[in-house]
Amino acid sequence: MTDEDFAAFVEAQSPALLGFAHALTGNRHDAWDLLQETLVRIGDRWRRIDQPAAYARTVMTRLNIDRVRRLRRELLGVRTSEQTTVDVPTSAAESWLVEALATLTPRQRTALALRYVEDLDVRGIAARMGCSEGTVKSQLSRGIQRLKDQARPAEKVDR
Amino acid sequence: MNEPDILEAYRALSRPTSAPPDLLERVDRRLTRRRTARRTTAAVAVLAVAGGIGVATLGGGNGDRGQVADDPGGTDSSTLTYTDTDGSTYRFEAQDISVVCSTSDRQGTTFQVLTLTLNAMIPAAVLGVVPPDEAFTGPVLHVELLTDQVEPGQVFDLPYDTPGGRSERRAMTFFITNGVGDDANELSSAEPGSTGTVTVNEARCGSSPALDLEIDGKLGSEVEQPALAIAGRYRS
Repeated sequence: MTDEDFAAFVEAQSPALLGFAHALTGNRHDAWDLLQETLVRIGDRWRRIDQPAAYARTVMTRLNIDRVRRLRRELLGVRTSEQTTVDVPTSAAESWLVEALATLTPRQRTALALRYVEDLDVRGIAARMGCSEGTVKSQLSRGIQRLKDQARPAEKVDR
Repeated sequence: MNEPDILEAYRALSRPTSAPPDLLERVDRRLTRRRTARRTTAAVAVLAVAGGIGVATLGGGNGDRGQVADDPGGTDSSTLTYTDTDGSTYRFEAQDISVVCSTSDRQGTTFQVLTLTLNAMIPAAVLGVVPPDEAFTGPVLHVELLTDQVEPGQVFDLPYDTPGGRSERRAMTFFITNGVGDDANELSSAEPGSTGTVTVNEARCGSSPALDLEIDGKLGSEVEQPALAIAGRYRS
Protein backbone atom coordinates (compact mmCIF):
# COMPACT_ATOMS: atom_id res chain seq x y z
CA MET A 1 0.00 0.00 0.00
CA THR A 2 1.27 3.48 -0.85
CA ASP A 3 1.37 6.79 0.97
CA GLU A 4 -1.56 7.86 -1.19
CA ASP A 5 -3.49 4.87 0.11
CA PHE A 6 -2.73 6.00 3.67
CA ALA A 7 -4.01 9.49 2.90
CA ALA A 8 -7.19 8.00 1.48
CA PHE A 9 -7.53 5.78 4.55
CA VAL A 10 -7.20 8.77 6.87
CA GLU A 11 -9.84 10.70 4.95
CA ALA A 12 -12.29 7.81 4.78
CA GLN A 13 -11.90 6.35 8.27
CA SER A 14 -11.25 9.38 10.46
CA PRO A 15 -14.89 10.38 11.07
CA ALA A 16 -15.81 6.92 12.38
CA LEU A 17 -12.56 6.58 14.31
CA LEU A 18 -13.06 9.99 15.90
CA GLY A 19 -16.54 8.94 16.99
CA PHE A 20 -15.14 5.76 18.52
CA ALA A 21 -12.38 7.75 20.22
CA HIS A 22 -14.99 10.07 21.68
CA ALA A 23 -16.82 7.09 23.16
CA LEU A 24 -13.57 5.68 24.53
CA THR A 25 -12.45 8.88 26.19
CA GLY A 26 -15.61 10.88 26.85
CA ASN A 27 -13.56 13.97 26.07
CA ARG A 28 -13.19 15.79 22.76
CA HIS A 29 -9.60 16.85 23.18
CA ASP A 30 -8.52 13.43 24.39
CA ALA A 31 -10.40 11.88 21.47
CA TRP A 32 -8.63 14.15 19.03
CA ASP A 33 -5.24 13.30 20.50
CA LEU A 34 -6.09 9.59 20.57
CA LEU A 35 -7.10 9.69 16.90
CA GLN A 36 -3.85 11.37 15.90
CA GLU A 37 -1.71 8.98 17.92
CA THR A 38 -3.56 5.99 16.47
CA LEU A 39 -3.03 7.23 12.91
CA VAL A 40 0.65 7.81 13.64
CA ARG A 41 1.01 4.20 14.77
CA ILE A 42 -0.88 3.04 11.67
CA GLY A 43 1.18 5.26 9.37
CA ASP A 44 4.39 3.96 10.87
CA ARG A 45 3.48 0.38 9.92
CA TRP A 46 1.30 1.13 6.93
CA ARG A 47 2.98 -1.13 4.39
CA ARG A 48 2.80 -4.13 6.76
CA ILE A 49 -0.87 -3.91 7.77
CA ASP A 50 -3.46 -6.10 6.04
CA GLN A 51 -6.67 -4.80 7.60
CA PRO A 52 -6.01 -1.22 8.65
CA ALA A 53 -9.54 -0.36 9.79
CA ALA A 54 -9.70 -3.26 12.25
CA TYR A 55 -6.10 -2.75 13.28
CA ALA A 56 -6.78 0.93 13.96
CA ARG A 57 -9.56 0.06 16.41
CA THR A 58 -7.32 -2.35 18.28
CA VAL A 59 -4.51 0.19 18.43
CA MET A 60 -6.90 2.88 19.62
CA THR A 61 -8.30 0.58 22.32
CA ARG A 62 -4.86 -0.35 23.62
CA LEU A 63 -3.64 3.23 23.53
CA ASN A 64 -6.62 4.37 25.57
CA ILE A 65 -5.64 2.13 28.47
CA ASP A 66 -1.91 2.60 28.06
CA ARG A 67 -0.74 4.24 31.24
CA VAL A 68 2.60 5.14 29.70
CA ARG A 69 0.86 7.10 26.97
CA ARG A 70 -1.20 8.95 29.57
CA LEU A 71 1.93 9.80 31.51
CA ARG A 72 3.57 10.98 28.31
CA ARG A 73 0.69 13.31 27.65
CA GLU A 74 0.84 14.65 31.19
CA LEU A 75 4.60 15.04 31.21
CA LEU A 76 4.99 16.58 27.80
CA GLY A 77 1.84 18.64 27.66
CA VAL A 78 0.55 17.15 24.42
CA ARG A 79 -2.90 18.42 25.30
CA THR A 80 -1.88 22.05 25.02
CA SER A 81 0.78 21.81 22.33
CA GLU A 82 -1.56 20.70 19.56
CA GLN A 83 -4.93 21.59 20.94
CA THR A 84 -7.68 21.91 18.40
CA THR A 85 -11.35 22.45 18.92
CA VAL A 86 -13.42 19.66 17.45
CA ASP A 87 -16.96 20.97 17.19
CA VAL A 88 -19.48 18.29 18.00
CA PRO A 89 -23.18 19.06 18.55
CA THR A 90 -24.28 17.79 21.95
CA SER A 91 -27.54 16.01 22.71
CA ALA A 92 -28.97 15.64 26.21
CA ALA A 93 -28.13 11.94 26.27
CA GLU A 94 -24.62 12.65 25.10
CA SER A 95 -24.12 15.36 27.72
CA TRP A 96 -25.20 13.02 30.48
CA LEU A 97 -22.88 10.28 29.26
CA VAL A 98 -19.90 12.64 28.95
CA GLU A 99 -20.42 13.76 32.53
CA ALA A 100 -20.77 10.19 33.74
CA LEU A 101 -17.76 8.88 31.81
CA ALA A 102 -15.55 11.42 33.56
CA THR A 103 -16.07 9.41 36.75
CA LEU A 104 -14.89 6.09 35.25
CA THR A 105 -11.39 4.69 34.99
CA PRO A 106 -9.90 4.39 31.48
CA ARG A 107 -10.32 0.62 31.55
CA GLN A 108 -13.99 0.92 32.52
CA ARG A 109 -14.59 3.49 29.77
CA THR A 110 -12.84 1.26 27.26
CA ALA A 111 -14.79 -1.86 28.18
CA LEU A 112 -18.11 0.00 27.99
CA ALA A 113 -17.31 1.57 24.61
CA LEU A 114 -16.39 -1.79 23.16
CA ARG A 115 -19.66 -3.22 24.42
CA TYR A 116 -22.04 -0.42 23.43
CA VAL A 117 -20.33 0.97 20.33
CA GLU A 118 -18.51 -2.02 18.87
CA ASP A 119 -21.16 -4.48 20.12
CA LEU A 120 -18.53 -6.97 21.27
CA ASP A 121 -19.17 -9.76 23.77
CA VAL A 122 -16.95 -10.36 26.81
CA ARG A 123 -14.58 -12.57 24.87
CA GLY A 124 -14.24 -10.03 22.08
CA ILE A 125 -13.66 -7.20 24.53
CA ALA A 126 -10.99 -9.22 26.33
CA ALA A 127 -9.20 -9.90 23.05
CA ARG A 128 -9.34 -6.25 22.01
CA MET A 129 -8.14 -4.98 25.40
CA GLY A 130 -5.56 -7.69 25.87
CA CYS A 131 -6.84 -8.84 29.27
CA SER A 132 -8.77 -11.72 30.83
CA GLU A 133 -12.53 -12.21 30.49
CA GLY A 134 -12.83 -11.96 34.27
CA THR A 135 -11.25 -8.52 34.20
CA VAL A 136 -13.65 -7.44 31.46
CA LYS A 137 -16.66 -8.64 33.47
CA SER A 138 -15.59 -6.73 36.56
CA GLN A 139 -14.78 -3.57 34.57
CA LEU A 140 -18.18 -3.71 32.83
CA SER A 141 -20.01 -4.35 36.09
CA ARG A 142 -18.33 -1.50 37.95
CA GLY A 143 -18.56 0.84 34.99
CA ILE A 144 -22.28 0.27 34.41
CA GLN A 145 -23.01 0.63 38.11
CA ARG A 146 -21.14 3.92 38.17
CA LEU A 147 -23.08 5.19 35.13
CA LYS A 148 -26.33 4.34 36.90
CA ASP A 149 -25.15 6.01 40.10
CA GLN A 150 -24.38 9.16 38.12
CA ALA A 151 -27.82 9.11 36.51
CA ARG A 152 -29.79 8.95 39.76
CA PRO A 153 -29.44 12.59 40.84
CA ALA A 154 -30.56 13.78 37.41
CA GLU A 155 -33.55 11.45 37.47
CA LYS A 156 -34.61 12.86 40.85
CA VAL A 157 -34.43 16.41 39.50
CA ASP A 158 -36.58 15.48 36.50
CA ARG A 159 -39.39 14.26 38.70
CA MET B 1 -31.39 4.46 33.75
CA ASN B 2 -31.39 1.16 31.87
CA GLU B 3 -29.59 -0.55 29.01
CA PRO B 4 -31.52 1.17 26.17
CA ASP B 5 -30.78 4.59 27.70
CA ILE B 6 -27.07 3.82 27.90
CA LEU B 7 -27.07 2.46 24.36
CA GLU B 8 -28.82 5.56 23.03
CA ALA B 9 -26.31 7.82 24.76
CA TYR B 10 -23.39 5.87 23.35
CA ARG B 11 -24.84 6.03 19.84
CA ALA B 12 -25.05 9.80 20.13
CA LEU B 13 -21.55 10.08 21.53
CA SER B 14 -19.90 7.84 18.96
CA ARG B 15 -21.53 9.04 15.77
CA PRO B 16 -19.04 9.77 12.97
CA THR B 17 -17.56 13.23 13.35
CA SER B 18 -15.68 15.30 10.81
CA ALA B 19 -12.03 15.58 11.72
CA PRO B 20 -10.26 18.95 11.33
CA PRO B 21 -9.07 19.50 7.74
CA ASP B 22 -5.39 19.56 8.69
CA LEU B 23 -5.51 16.10 10.28
CA LEU B 24 -3.21 14.49 7.71
CA GLU B 25 -0.64 17.28 8.07
CA ARG B 26 -0.64 16.85 11.87
CA VAL B 27 -0.26 13.09 11.57
CA ASP B 28 2.61 13.58 9.11
CA ARG B 29 4.36 15.94 11.54
CA ARG B 30 4.01 13.46 14.41
CA LEU B 31 5.23 10.65 12.18
CA THR B 32 8.30 12.65 11.25
CA ARG B 33 9.02 13.48 14.90
CA ARG B 34 8.57 9.85 15.89
CA ARG B 35 10.99 8.62 13.23
CA THR B 36 13.52 11.32 14.07
CA ALA B 37 13.28 10.51 17.78
CA ARG B 38 13.73 6.82 17.05
CA ARG B 39 16.93 7.49 15.08
CA THR B 40 18.20 9.82 17.79
CA THR B 41 17.41 7.33 20.54
CA ALA B 42 19.17 4.56 18.70
CA ALA B 43 22.23 6.76 18.37
CA VAL B 44 22.13 7.74 22.06
CA ALA B 45 21.70 4.10 23.08
CA VAL B 46 24.76 3.11 21.07
CA LEU B 47 26.77 5.91 22.66
CA ALA B 48 25.54 5.00 26.14
CA VAL B 49 26.53 1.36 25.75
CA ALA B 50 29.85 2.27 24.16
CA GLY B 51 30.62 4.72 26.94
CA GLY B 52 29.40 2.49 29.74
CA ILE B 53 26.91 5.05 30.97
CA GLY B 54 23.27 4.75 31.87
CA VAL B 55 20.40 6.56 30.23
CA ALA B 56 18.92 9.19 32.50
CA THR B 57 15.31 9.12 33.56
CA LEU B 58 13.03 11.78 32.25
CA GLY B 59 12.61 14.72 34.54
CA GLY B 60 11.11 18.12 34.43
CA GLY B 61 8.20 17.67 32.06
CA ASN B 62 7.28 20.48 29.72
CA GLY B 63 9.58 23.36 30.46
CA ASP B 64 7.44 25.79 28.50
CA ARG B 65 4.54 25.44 30.84
CA GLY B 66 5.93 25.30 34.34
CA GLN B 67 8.79 25.37 36.79
CA VAL B 68 10.79 22.34 37.84
CA ALA B 69 11.57 22.01 41.52
CA ASP B 70 13.87 19.02 41.51
CA ASP B 71 17.50 19.77 42.13
CA PRO B 72 19.96 16.88 41.94
CA GLY B 73 22.33 18.70 44.26
CA GLY B 74 19.65 20.01 46.59
CA THR B 75 18.08 18.85 49.81
CA ASP B 76 15.17 16.84 48.44
CA SER B 77 14.43 13.79 50.53
CA SER B 78 12.19 10.78 50.16
CA THR B 79 11.29 7.83 52.34
CA LEU B 80 8.32 6.86 50.16
CA THR B 81 8.28 3.07 50.08
CA TYR B 82 5.66 0.62 48.91
CA THR B 83 5.33 -3.06 49.73
CA ASP B 84 4.36 -5.48 46.98
CA THR B 85 2.20 -8.58 47.47
CA ASP B 86 5.26 -10.81 47.81
CA GLY B 87 6.56 -8.70 50.70
CA SER B 88 9.27 -7.02 48.69
CA THR B 89 9.66 -3.28 49.09
CA TYR B 90 10.53 -0.52 46.67
CA ARG B 91 11.76 2.89 47.72
CA PHE B 92 11.18 5.93 45.52
CA GLU B 93 14.50 7.76 45.73
CA ALA B 94 14.50 11.56 45.87
CA GLN B 95 17.07 12.00 43.11
CA ASP B 96 14.76 10.20 40.67
CA ILE B 97 11.73 12.33 41.50
CA SER B 98 10.65 15.40 39.56
CA VAL B 99 8.26 18.02 40.87
CA VAL B 100 6.69 20.21 38.23
CA CYS B 101 4.20 23.05 38.50
CA SER B 102 1.96 23.83 35.54
CA THR B 103 -1.43 25.18 34.59
CA SER B 104 -4.07 22.92 33.16
CA ASP B 105 -7.35 23.80 31.49
CA ARG B 106 -9.83 21.12 32.52
CA GLN B 107 -13.42 21.21 31.35
CA GLY B 108 -13.34 24.99 31.14
CA THR B 109 -11.62 25.63 34.48
CA THR B 110 -7.93 26.48 34.86
CA PHE B 111 -6.06 24.79 37.70
CA GLN B 112 -2.56 25.14 39.12
CA VAL B 113 -1.25 21.60 39.17
CA LEU B 114 1.75 20.40 41.16
CA THR B 115 2.92 17.05 39.88
CA LEU B 116 5.40 14.69 41.49
CA THR B 117 6.65 11.99 39.14
CA LEU B 118 9.07 9.18 39.40
CA ASN B 119 9.15 7.46 36.08
CA ALA B 120 11.72 4.73 36.05
CA MET B 121 11.55 4.43 32.30
CA ILE B 122 13.92 5.80 29.75
CA PRO B 123 12.60 8.82 27.85
CA ALA B 124 12.19 6.81 24.68
CA ALA B 125 9.50 4.72 26.32
CA VAL B 126 7.61 7.77 27.51
CA LEU B 127 7.84 9.24 24.02
CA GLY B 128 6.49 6.04 22.55
CA VAL B 129 9.63 5.34 20.56
CA VAL B 130 10.29 1.94 22.13
CA PRO B 131 7.77 -0.45 23.69
CA PRO B 132 7.26 0.17 27.43
CA ASP B 133 8.04 -3.42 28.40
CA GLU B 134 11.48 -3.06 26.89
CA ALA B 135 12.20 0.03 28.93
CA PHE B 136 10.41 -0.56 32.22
CA THR B 137 12.91 -0.77 35.05
CA GLY B 138 10.83 -0.06 38.13
CA PRO B 139 7.55 1.18 39.53
CA VAL B 140 6.07 4.47 38.38
CA LEU B 141 4.94 7.04 40.94
CA HIS B 142 2.65 9.89 39.98
CA VAL B 143 1.15 12.35 42.48
CA GLU B 144 -1.01 15.25 41.38
CA LEU B 145 -2.20 18.14 43.55
CA LEU B 146 -4.46 21.04 42.61
CA THR B 147 -2.70 23.65 44.72
CA ASP B 148 -5.65 26.06 44.80
CA GLN B 149 -7.70 23.38 46.54
CA VAL B 150 -5.19 22.15 49.11
CA GLU B 151 -4.56 23.83 52.47
CA PRO B 152 -1.22 23.43 54.28
CA GLY B 153 -1.45 20.49 56.66
CA GLN B 154 -4.54 19.11 54.97
CA VAL B 155 -5.18 15.45 55.65
CA PHE B 156 -6.90 13.33 52.99
CA ASP B 157 -8.59 10.22 54.31
CA LEU B 158 -8.39 7.38 51.77
CA PRO B 159 -10.08 6.59 49.56
CA TYR B 160 -10.25 10.21 48.49
CA ASP B 161 -12.34 11.25 45.50
CA THR B 162 -14.45 14.18 44.42
CA PRO B 163 -18.17 13.78 45.20
CA GLY B 164 -18.95 13.05 41.57
CA GLY B 165 -15.79 11.03 41.01
CA ARG B 166 -14.45 13.51 38.43
CA SER B 167 -10.74 12.83 38.29
CA GLU B 168 -9.83 16.13 36.62
CA ARG B 169 -11.19 18.06 39.65
CA ARG B 170 -9.68 15.80 42.31
CA ALA B 171 -7.54 17.89 44.67
CA MET B 172 -5.15 15.01 45.33
CA THR B 173 -4.35 11.86 43.40
CA PHE B 174 -1.67 9.39 44.41
CA PHE B 175 -0.94 6.79 41.75
CA ILE B 176 1.50 3.88 41.40
CA THR B 177 1.94 1.20 38.78
CA ASN B 178 4.31 -1.67 39.44
CA GLY B 179 4.74 -2.80 35.85
CA VAL B 180 3.43 -2.72 32.32
CA GLY B 181 1.27 -5.17 30.43
CA ASP B 182 -1.53 -7.44 31.54
CA ASP B 183 -0.12 -8.33 34.95
CA ALA B 184 0.65 -4.78 36.06
CA ASN B 185 -1.13 -3.52 39.14
CA GLU B 186 -2.32 0.09 38.85
CA LEU B 187 -3.12 1.65 42.21
CA SER B 188 -4.90 4.88 43.00
CA SER B 189 -5.82 6.76 46.16
CA ALA B 190 -9.30 7.22 44.70
CA GLU B 191 -10.04 3.50 44.52
CA PRO B 192 -12.42 1.98 47.13
CA GLY B 193 -9.74 -0.41 48.42
CA SER B 194 -7.59 2.47 49.66
CA THR B 195 -7.10 3.06 53.39
CA GLY B 196 -5.04 5.38 55.60
CA THR B 197 -4.15 9.02 55.00
CA VAL B 198 -2.19 11.41 52.82
CA THR B 199 -1.04 14.58 54.57
CA VAL B 200 0.02 17.54 52.44
CA ASN B 201 2.21 19.74 54.61
CA GLU B 202 3.02 22.08 51.73
CA ALA B 203 2.13 22.26 48.05
CA ARG B 204 3.22 25.51 46.45
CA CYS B 205 3.57 26.68 42.87
CA GLY B 206 5.15 29.96 41.76
CA SER B 207 8.77 30.78 41.05
CA SER B 208 10.00 28.09 43.42
CA PRO B 209 7.61 25.13 43.58
CA ALA B 210 7.69 23.19 46.83
CA LEU B 211 6.12 19.97 47.98
CA ASP B 212 6.05 18.23 51.35
CA LEU B 213 3.72 15.28 51.73
CA GLU B 214 3.34 12.12 53.77
CA ILE B 215 1.40 8.96 53.15
CA ASP B 216 0.62 6.04 55.42
CA GLY B 217 -1.86 3.52 54.14
CA LYS B 218 -2.84 1.35 51.21
CA LEU B 219 -3.73 2.25 47.64
CA GLY B 220 -6.61 0.36 46.03
CA SER B 221 -6.19 -1.34 42.68
CA GLU B 222 -7.82 -0.07 39.48
CA VAL B 223 -7.43 -3.50 37.89
CA GLU B 224 -8.92 -5.95 40.38
CA GLN B 225 -5.63 -6.78 42.09
CA PRO B 226 -4.72 -6.48 45.80
CA ALA B 227 -4.29 -3.10 47.47
CA LEU B 228 -0.66 -2.34 48.28
CA ALA B 229 0.82 -0.59 51.32
CA ILE B 230 2.80 2.61 50.90
CA ALA B 231 4.31 4.83 53.56
CA GLY B 232 6.83 7.63 53.89
CA ARG B 233 7.45 11.28 53.23
CA TYR B 234 8.71 13.37 50.35
CA ARG B 235 10.12 16.91 50.73
CA SER B 236 11.51 19.14 48.02
